[in-house]
Amino acid sequence: MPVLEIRDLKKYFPIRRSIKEFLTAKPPKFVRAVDGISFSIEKKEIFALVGESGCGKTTTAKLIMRLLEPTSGSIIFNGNDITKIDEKEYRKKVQMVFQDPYASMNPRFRVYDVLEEPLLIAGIEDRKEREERIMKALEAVKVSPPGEFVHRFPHQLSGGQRQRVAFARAIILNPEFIVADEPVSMLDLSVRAEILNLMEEIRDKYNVTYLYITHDLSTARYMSDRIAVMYLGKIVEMTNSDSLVEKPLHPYTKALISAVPEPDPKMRGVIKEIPVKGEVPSAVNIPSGCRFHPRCPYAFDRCMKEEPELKQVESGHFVACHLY
Amino acid sequence: MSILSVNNLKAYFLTIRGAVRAVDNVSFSLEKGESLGLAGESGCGKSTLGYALINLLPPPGKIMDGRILIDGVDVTKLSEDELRKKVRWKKISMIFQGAMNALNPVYTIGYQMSEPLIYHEGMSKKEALEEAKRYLELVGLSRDVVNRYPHELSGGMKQRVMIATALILKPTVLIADEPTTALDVIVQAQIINLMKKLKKELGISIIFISHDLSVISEIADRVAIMYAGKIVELGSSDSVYLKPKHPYTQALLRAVPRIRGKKEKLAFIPGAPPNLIEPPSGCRFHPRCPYAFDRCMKEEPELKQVESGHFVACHLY
Amino acid sequence: MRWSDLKADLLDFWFQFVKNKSGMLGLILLIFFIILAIAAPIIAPEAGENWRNLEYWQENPKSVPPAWINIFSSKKLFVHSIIYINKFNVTSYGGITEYVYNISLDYNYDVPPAGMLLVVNAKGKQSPITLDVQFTRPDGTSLRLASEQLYPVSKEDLLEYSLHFGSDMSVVSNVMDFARKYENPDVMSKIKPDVFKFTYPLFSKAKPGLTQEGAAEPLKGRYIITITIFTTEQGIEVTGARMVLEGQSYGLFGTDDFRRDLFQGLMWGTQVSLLVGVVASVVSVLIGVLYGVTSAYLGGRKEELMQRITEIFYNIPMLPLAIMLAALLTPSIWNVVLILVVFGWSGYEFVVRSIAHQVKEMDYIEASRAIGARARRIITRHIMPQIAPYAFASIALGVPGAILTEAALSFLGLADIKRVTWGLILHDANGAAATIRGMWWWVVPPGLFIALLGLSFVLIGTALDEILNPKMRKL
Repeated sequence: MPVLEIRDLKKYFPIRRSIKEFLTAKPPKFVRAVDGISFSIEKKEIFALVGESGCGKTTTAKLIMRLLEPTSGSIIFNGNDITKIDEKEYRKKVQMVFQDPYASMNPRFRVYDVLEEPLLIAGIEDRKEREERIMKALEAVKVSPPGEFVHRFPHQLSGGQRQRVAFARAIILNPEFIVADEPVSMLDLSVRAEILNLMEEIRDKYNVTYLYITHDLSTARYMSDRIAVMYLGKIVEMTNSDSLVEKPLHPYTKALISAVPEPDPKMRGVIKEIPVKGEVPSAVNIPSGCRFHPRCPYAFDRCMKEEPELKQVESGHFVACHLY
Repeated sequence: MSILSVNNLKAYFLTIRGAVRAVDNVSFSLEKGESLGLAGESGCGKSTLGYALINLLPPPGKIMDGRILIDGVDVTKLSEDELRKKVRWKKISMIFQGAMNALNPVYTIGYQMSEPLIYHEGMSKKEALEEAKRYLELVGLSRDVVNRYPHELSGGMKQRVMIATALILKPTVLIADEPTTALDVIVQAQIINLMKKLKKELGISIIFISHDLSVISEIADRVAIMYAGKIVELGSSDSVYLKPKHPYTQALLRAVPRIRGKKEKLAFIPGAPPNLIEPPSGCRFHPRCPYAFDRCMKEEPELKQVESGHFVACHLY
Repeated sequence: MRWSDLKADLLDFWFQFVKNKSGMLGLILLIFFIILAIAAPIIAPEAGENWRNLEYWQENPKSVPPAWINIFSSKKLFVHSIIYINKFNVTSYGGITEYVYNISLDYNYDVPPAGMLLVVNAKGKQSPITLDVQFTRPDGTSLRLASEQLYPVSKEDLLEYSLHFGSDMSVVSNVMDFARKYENPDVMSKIKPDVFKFTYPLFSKAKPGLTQEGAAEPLKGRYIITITIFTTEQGIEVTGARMVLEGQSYGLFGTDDFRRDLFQGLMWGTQVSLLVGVVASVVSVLIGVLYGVTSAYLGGRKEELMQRITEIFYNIPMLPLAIMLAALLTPSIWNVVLILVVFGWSGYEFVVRSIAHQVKEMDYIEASRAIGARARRIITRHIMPQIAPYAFASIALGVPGAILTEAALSFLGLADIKRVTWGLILHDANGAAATIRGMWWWVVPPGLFIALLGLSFVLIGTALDEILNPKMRKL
């Protein structure tokens, strides 16, 4: 049974109408941030959700974390619809790590307070027990010796250390599932691997399943077992990471991959071929048919009229494109 | 003669707690039509160096020592007035980090682009607008963008406008400070392509500042790796990327995840960049260096040529 | 945040505050006023409740400037003095009891007392006494000032006999007789007994002009006033007496038209000002904070509605409405506080809401929500600490405004007349046309006190703002 299952999840944000629009009774417009996505994540899997800004990946994370309510569709955790699960229990099992290691902690809280908060909310009354668990969590993320760090403020830690503390906060209640939203994109290069390796360690030691959200295909490939590519609120391709990078099927995925620079100077001077035109349109005016068609070099008639479904074309490899 | 020559530049931030030695004795040169990448992580001094070159250090920053020669003229000795009239934007211009936000939201693009032309070249409004339109085309935008306001443009489009504005007085040197960091990967690729094209067509020299080694390798002819305010390695892109000599460069390259090719375990560098008010004695990298030995703690290594055109500051050589 | 953290924070704050010169000055000023407020019931316990009781102030001079004015003026004004007689020289003979006392007065002034009053206290049966007052001057001349019978008034279980020299015709006539010996007959003939300034001839050199204020030359030296009291009745005993020489100046801040000691009034007024100022400010800020945080947290339509309400309160002009309300409500201190709060809270609400919004958008709020924090925890542990610095600075800065407004309301006659406030003093001064009459001591001190107390809070508040503000920016 998969740990997490998303079924046809949708989240629309209404846009405030101007008086004029209100008076002329124009239908309300929506930002269709997440427009019907489905996937499932197996235990101890690292599942990456990749896409550019505005594709809906962060909104998906918030829906899973119950920070937002879905417009429609369902999220199933360990076989149960999350709206039926007690919120407190759910939050113990599903945790999140944020992108900005500095902003995700109250600058007036010491490390001890940051880590104590989830324990207090979970109702752990015994002070000694809390202290023990905090120390253990810090050890687990290799912030050592813990005694030296518990009294520090976030601004007294390096970026890498802060993100470690963020992970400590995430694992302190022994969750089953962690949503990691761009956990390394604000860290220095030399520190990223540290955190990525830590994530793997946590998975191995604590049997945690990950949803790894990023715009960086390279780290997605490095970290994850499977990748789903999102575009304008929909999943356009989904498969295991090696296949995605070696044999991308969707034109958008191909464009993404070809756009990734690599430290290979032999490619310098050659103006890259980026097989895509223009920029991502606004999520308010989503193109008809296949939402990628205005930019797609392979678009044909059908693409403008009919929205393609996410279909399995090879074993475990799903694409939403009329070419297949 | 080099278009730009920097000799023993020191730029410090004089704070209450002490002088932050952001750029500490940096020397390099830039030839015509060449693009130099300044690579390094946060706090290494690359942005400060960029600002120092155009003498726009935010207070309490100050150029303490050294010379910056542009076309043979030492710009550190010029007055603010002279800098404004003769050097900035005419000889050397800059695209700032997060430049998309540098556009004034209440003026049209055309108005903002015309400003330097009217002020520096004395053009009329009409002439300036025409020139602005030309440059917009040059960066791949349509001419009618002159009438638009910044909020009507996307991030990528705004960045193109910033590039056009930086080039509009035909400077010989362009400093680009993290021009693609805030952009999506596809737009980033488009902008990099644009800069490559401009380099070819206009023959400008570019100093490309970034923490993203992959992006730099796409565009830079030569690369300088900075750490803790100093250049630790300098050479052609080929030699630095394919035959890195400095332990820091080597470690950094091993920390970059590759999308193609075999999946290799990513390396990281334990520890953190040093405090620039009181940097470590000797070689600044020694506390984190796997090869550090006695001499590294006592003596600061000089940037020496170890192969033709390839310089390293390390006692291993 | 643990107690040790809070302690450390407070200590740290204190060290910074001490370094701030203006803040310390403000604090010193504030301490001065607090001491004044505490001292009022100790130094002048009855003055507060008796402000309206004019009888209480009878023995003060009327409308005189402060005593220290003598330091600055070339003409030394007589300082109000009360000489208490506790023990007489008593002799009894033939059914008559004679009480004698010699008052020795060293007179060094240029301007004589404005008036003289003698009060004798006795116990026992109500019966008249005979009073004899002999006035001996330093130049050797003397006169019998008074020789008459006095009738008692009973005050609780004491009998009180009083003689107002200036209003007693026989005394006046005695003085005039004395003056006639030296004065110019023309001048003498023009003197009207009921407005005769009888103390001038008593205390001036014996030569022509001694009856006229401008012409009389002061006779400085030692005066002896011999008081002899005869009682014929048995069953009555004189217990004491006091001679009040009404000064031309009095005390620390002089007196008003109603003979009230303005220093005492000012002291008691300090209590009110501090109370009203601080309470009104604290309550206003508190309401503003709670409202603002709730509004920001609720968001959406509810917030819009709450904001509209705030805006209404913010835009109502205070003074006209305050006057209206004061006319409708019973004038009392607490109603003044109410008015101040009703018009004060909305200003703070805007800023607090703005801060709360900014904090609400921070990632760490989302992180807390993601771990399951409820609204209460987020508000108390995360949002409130960011608002606290602004709140404290606002409380300090809001006090001067409250004090001034209270003074204005009192000045307009809208406040509690039973309690003396600085504004009330000004109100009375205005009613008595004090400024035109040159009674600066009635007008300047209350105004100065208002300004200084306000200033002290402004200085403290500014210092608070300077110190706490950078921390506030650590959003």
